[in-house]
Amino acid sequence: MAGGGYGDVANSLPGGRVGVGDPEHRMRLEGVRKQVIETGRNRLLVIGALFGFGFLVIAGRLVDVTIFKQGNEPRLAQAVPASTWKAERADIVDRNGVLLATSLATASLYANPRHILDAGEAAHQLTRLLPGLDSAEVESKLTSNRGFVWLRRHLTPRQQYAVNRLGIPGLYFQREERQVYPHGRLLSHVLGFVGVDNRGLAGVENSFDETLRQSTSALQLSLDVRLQHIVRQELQAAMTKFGAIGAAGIMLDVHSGEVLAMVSLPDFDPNNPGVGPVEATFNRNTHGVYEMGSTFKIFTTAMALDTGTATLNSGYDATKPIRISRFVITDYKPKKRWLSVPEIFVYSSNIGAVKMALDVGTANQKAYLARLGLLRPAAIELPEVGAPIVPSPWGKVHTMTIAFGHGIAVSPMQLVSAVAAIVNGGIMRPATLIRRGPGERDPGVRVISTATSERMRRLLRQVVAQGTGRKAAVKGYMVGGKTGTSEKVGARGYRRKALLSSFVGAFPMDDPRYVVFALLDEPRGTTGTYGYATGGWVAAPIVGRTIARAAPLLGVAPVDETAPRMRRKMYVRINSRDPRVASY
Amino acid sequence: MRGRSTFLWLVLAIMVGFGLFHVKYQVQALEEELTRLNAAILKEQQQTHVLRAEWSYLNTPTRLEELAARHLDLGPVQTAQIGSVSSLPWRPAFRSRAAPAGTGMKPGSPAKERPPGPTLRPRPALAHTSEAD
Repeated sequence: MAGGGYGDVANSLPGGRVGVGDPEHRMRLEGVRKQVIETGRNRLLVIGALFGFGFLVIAGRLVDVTIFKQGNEPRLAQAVPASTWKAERADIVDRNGVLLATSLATASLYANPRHILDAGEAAHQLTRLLPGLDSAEVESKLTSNRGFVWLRRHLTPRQQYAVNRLGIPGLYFQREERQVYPHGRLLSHVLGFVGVDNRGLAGVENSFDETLRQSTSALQLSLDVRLQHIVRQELQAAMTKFGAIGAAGIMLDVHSGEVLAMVSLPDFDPNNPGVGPVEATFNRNTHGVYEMGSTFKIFTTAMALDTGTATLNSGYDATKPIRISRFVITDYKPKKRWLSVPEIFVYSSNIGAVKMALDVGTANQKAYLARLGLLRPAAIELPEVGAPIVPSPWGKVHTMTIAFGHGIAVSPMQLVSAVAAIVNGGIMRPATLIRRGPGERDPGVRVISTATSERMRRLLRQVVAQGTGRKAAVKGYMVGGKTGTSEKVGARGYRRKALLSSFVGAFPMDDPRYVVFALLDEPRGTTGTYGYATGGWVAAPIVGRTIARAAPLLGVAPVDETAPRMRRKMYVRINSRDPRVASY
Repeated sequence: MRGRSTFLWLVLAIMVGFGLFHVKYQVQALEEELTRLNAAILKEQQQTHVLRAEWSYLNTPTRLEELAARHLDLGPVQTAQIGSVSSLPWRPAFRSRAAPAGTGMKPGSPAKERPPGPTLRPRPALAHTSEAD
C-alpha cells in the first residue's frame, strides 16, 4: 500500500490544477491525504527508533555497570583503612626494643574566667586537689577578664577525675600529649628532654626532633638498658665511695662504633628536667673536654710503633726529669733507668713517652691525632658536643706534653672512639647512638696498621696483667687498658689535689670487642686505696666490675688467660735491653 | 494478559526497590559499625601504648634487681659458672657396684648418683673454651 502510494505521490505531485469532482481528481486527493499520514508515520518511526536506541544504550550501560566488571575496579570492595593512632612523637627504644621514651595522652586543665561563678571557692577547691597551686594566684587568674587561662598542664587521670567531680562550671580539659621516660634517670643525658610544647631540647630528642615528629616507627638506639644500668650503678658506687663530684662512663662496640652505654653523673630526671641543679644536665661524655693524662700514651706509643721510630725492643733513658722552658716533666713513680717501650707503657713513664713523641715528631703526632678524630668534635648524634682544646700553634713543648695527655683536652667520647680504632685492627669508625644492623657497618678509615694494633693489644693487656691497671683485671675476660690521671687546671696552674682519674679498657684482649671507659672527677683517696686517687686505684676497679657483670650479658665466652696459647698470644718482652745503650 | 504482565512488572519493581533499599541500609549499618570499630581500635591502641609504657617502667633494671634480690636465690653470673661442653670432664666409667641392686636404675644415668648440688661444675681450666668457638 505504501509502495503504491509513493508512486501516486510521485505521479500526482507535479500535476497542478485538476478538478475535484472527477474520479481522477478523487484518486489524487486520496493520494495527498495518504501522503501526509505516511509522513507523520515516518516521523514517528524515526523518533521511536531514536528513543529506542537511547533506551537501548542506557540499558546496555546499565548492564555494563551492574553486571560486568570494569578494568579499574578492585576485585574486592575496599573498606576505609583503620586509621592507626599516631603519637605526637615517635617512641624511642633501646637495641633490644625496650621502650625508653614515649608520648602519652594527658589532660591539661584550663578555665574560662567569664564562666566561673565563684572564683574564690573554685580556687580553694582546686588548690586542695592539686598540690603546688597557689590559691591567691589561681584566684587572680580566675577573676581576670580573659577567656582562657591555663591552670595546670598534664594532670594525672586521678586528678582529672577529681577535678571533674568538683563540678565547677568554667573549668575545661585540653587533651595533650606528654613525653614520658619510663626509665627515669637511667638515660637522662642520652635521651635529653622536651619542652612544654613537646619540642626536643636536648639529647637524642633534640638531634632527631624532626624524625621523631614525622615518623610512626620507633627510633632504635644502640644502647642497651641493662649495660647502661650496670655502668651507672658502678659509677654511682665509686662516686659515693671516693667522694667524687662527677663521673662518666662509656661502653662501645669496637667494630661497629655503636655506643652500648653512656652515663654521666650527676644526672637528672628527663620527666622533670627543670628540677635539680643545672650542672646535672651537663653531659661529661660528649660535652666535657678534659686533659686525659696517661691514656694518651696509647696514641703516643701507637704512632711511635706505626711510624717505626720505636719497636717493642727499643727503649729510652728515663733517668733524669726533662726540663723544657718552665716545665719539669717527671715520672709519677720514677724508675731512674733505661726503660724499654713496653716498660714505658706498662709503668706509664712520662719521660719515656715524651722522648717517644719527640722521635715521632710534631707533624706526625698532629696527623695521627687528627686521623684518630681527637682534634675535631666527636662524631656522635647529640647536640651537646664539646670542641676539643688543641694547642695553637703546636710547638715542641706541646708535642712533649701531649705525649702524656696534657696540653690537649678532649671529650671521653673522642678518646673512646680513638682507643676503639687502636684495638680493633686500626680502623677508625665514627661512634653512633643508632643501632646498626650487621650490614650497615661504616667502612671506616685505616689509622694504624693491623700489626701495630696487634702490638698495642699486647701492651694494653700487659698494663692490666702487671702494670698500673691491675685492678681492672677480671678472671677469664682478658681485660686490657690504660690508666690516666691528670690534675685539673685551676686559677693558678694545675691543682695537685683535684684529679681526673680515668681508665680506658678493652676486652677480650686477644680479639677486642668492647671498649669500656670510666672517669671520676675529683675523687679522694680512701684508706682502702692508701690515700691514692689515681686512675689505677679508683677508675680501673669500676671498669673491672663493669666488665665482670656485662661480659656474660654480651655473650663473651671466658677464656683461660694462663693457658699457654693465650700467654703466647699476649706475650711482650718487658725488660728487653738494647745492647747498644747497655752502658746506661 | 496485558493486566497480568503489568502486575508482574509492578511486583518485580517493588521487590527490586525493596532489595535495593535493604542493601543500602545494610551497608549503612556496616559502615557505622566499621567507624565504631575503628574508633575502638584507636582506643585500644592508645591503651596498649600506655600499658607498654607501664611495662617498661615496671621492667626498669633497678626494680628488677630489687625484686630478684627479694624473691630469687639467684646472683650475677660468675666467670666460673660459664663453661663449654668440651670443658666438661668425661663421665667416669660405670661401676655396677655403686648402683644398689634392684633400684631399676639404668646404667645411662650416672647424674642421679651424684649428691645434690651443682651438677655441671666446670673444670678449673677452661682451655677448650676458646677452641670451641
